[in-house]
Amino acid sequence: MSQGLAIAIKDIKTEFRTKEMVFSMLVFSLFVMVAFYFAFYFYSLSSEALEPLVSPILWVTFFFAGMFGLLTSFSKEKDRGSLEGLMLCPMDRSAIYFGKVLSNYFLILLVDIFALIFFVLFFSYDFNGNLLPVLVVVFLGTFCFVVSGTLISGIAVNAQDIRGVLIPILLIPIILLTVLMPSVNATSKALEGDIIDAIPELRILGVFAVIYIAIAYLLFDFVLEE
Amino acid sequence: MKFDKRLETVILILTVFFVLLSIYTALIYTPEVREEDGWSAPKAQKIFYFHVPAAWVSFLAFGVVFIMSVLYLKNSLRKWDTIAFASAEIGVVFCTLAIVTGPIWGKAEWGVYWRWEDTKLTITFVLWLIFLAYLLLRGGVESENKARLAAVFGIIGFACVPLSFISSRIWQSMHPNVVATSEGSMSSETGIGLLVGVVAFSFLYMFMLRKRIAIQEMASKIEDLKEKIGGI
Repeated sequence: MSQGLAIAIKDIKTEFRTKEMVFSMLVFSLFVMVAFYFAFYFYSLSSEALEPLVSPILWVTFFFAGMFGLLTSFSKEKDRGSLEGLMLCPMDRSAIYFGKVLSNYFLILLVDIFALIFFVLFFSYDFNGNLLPVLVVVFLGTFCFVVSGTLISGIAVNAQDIRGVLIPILLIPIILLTVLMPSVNATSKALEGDIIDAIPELRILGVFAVIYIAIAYLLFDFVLEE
Repeated sequence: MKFDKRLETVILILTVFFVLLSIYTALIYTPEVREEDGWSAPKAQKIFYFHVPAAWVSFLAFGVVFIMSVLYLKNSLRKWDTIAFASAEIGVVFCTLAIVTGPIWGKAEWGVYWRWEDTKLTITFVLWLIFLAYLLLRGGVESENKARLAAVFGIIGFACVPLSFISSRIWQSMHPNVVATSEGSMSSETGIGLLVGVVAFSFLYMFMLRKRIAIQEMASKIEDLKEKIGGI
């Protein structure tokens, strides 16, 4: 675990030296928000009409911005040739996975929080004191997304030419019903103020996070094998 | 070698026989469902004898991909990978058939082509997407890693199906539930029609799988020969 933490800290450190990935993820989530705003511009949505659209808009933004982060998490290492270095370290291969999960989780959560702020700004949305339950769902949903996404990212990085397209193609069908649906549902329920109602979805997310971690723990050695 | 050839002939004969038989049972032998029983399109229901076996073969094929992927990761023999690849391709074809025939019936019976609230439909669709992605992954990765990564994704993809099922159990299913109500509502003729269809499609799957594996093996043999003479 401490080895994983070391890798995560290394990743976050190198990221904050250039900030290029976090910055482009932030700009991207900003663009998605603006795009949504103008897509609904014609209807000049009132706050009641906006209500059912809040959680879909938020999660679509989170997922697409997050996919950007997943894209570079392994490809940077691969292109610099430092992945071999990591693999040569005297530690379990799954430590690399857990390290990547931690750093991706940190960076994507950061982007999620900024996306929430952009959303509030652009749509002049008021959470009415439901922000805390929404944040709980965002933390859990993003975690589920990152544990499955990091594994897929490790697979897709091997496809030299099409890796950019391959991550969404491999990841979306897998998370469609297991992460996206429960997260959106739970966020909608949390926005209505009854987080208790969202417990079945939260439980599903929790269970899937554990299952994906177990699958990754079992299979990640094969992903990195050379 | 001789045994292989004979086995193939037997499978071919059985396939042709059962496919012809299933055309007969589906179109002539099985009774039409009645409108009194709540069916709005009795004629269209005949597609059921084609739709269910196609869906069955696709699930069977994806199950085979899963098992072969596990075996490949265990001892990295190329034959497991070849079988997994062949099975995935055939599975996608049959899954496409099931996904196409479903809406044809749905339009007649429900009045709409597609119902997202239907669990079986949605999950079959997601499964189809997963294995399309599987084939794309195989196309995108260079050869030495291909088999291993595809095996990992094949396992994740197949494991995802029960997970999707759990997460969607909250929705109401509109799909005709064949298995659960078979004692009550399905007549024995319908059961026989369905069984013949499933057997016919399973033999067809076996035949196609063997052919696809043979083609794949030939292709890798050609690759080896090319390498030997120093070609590309």
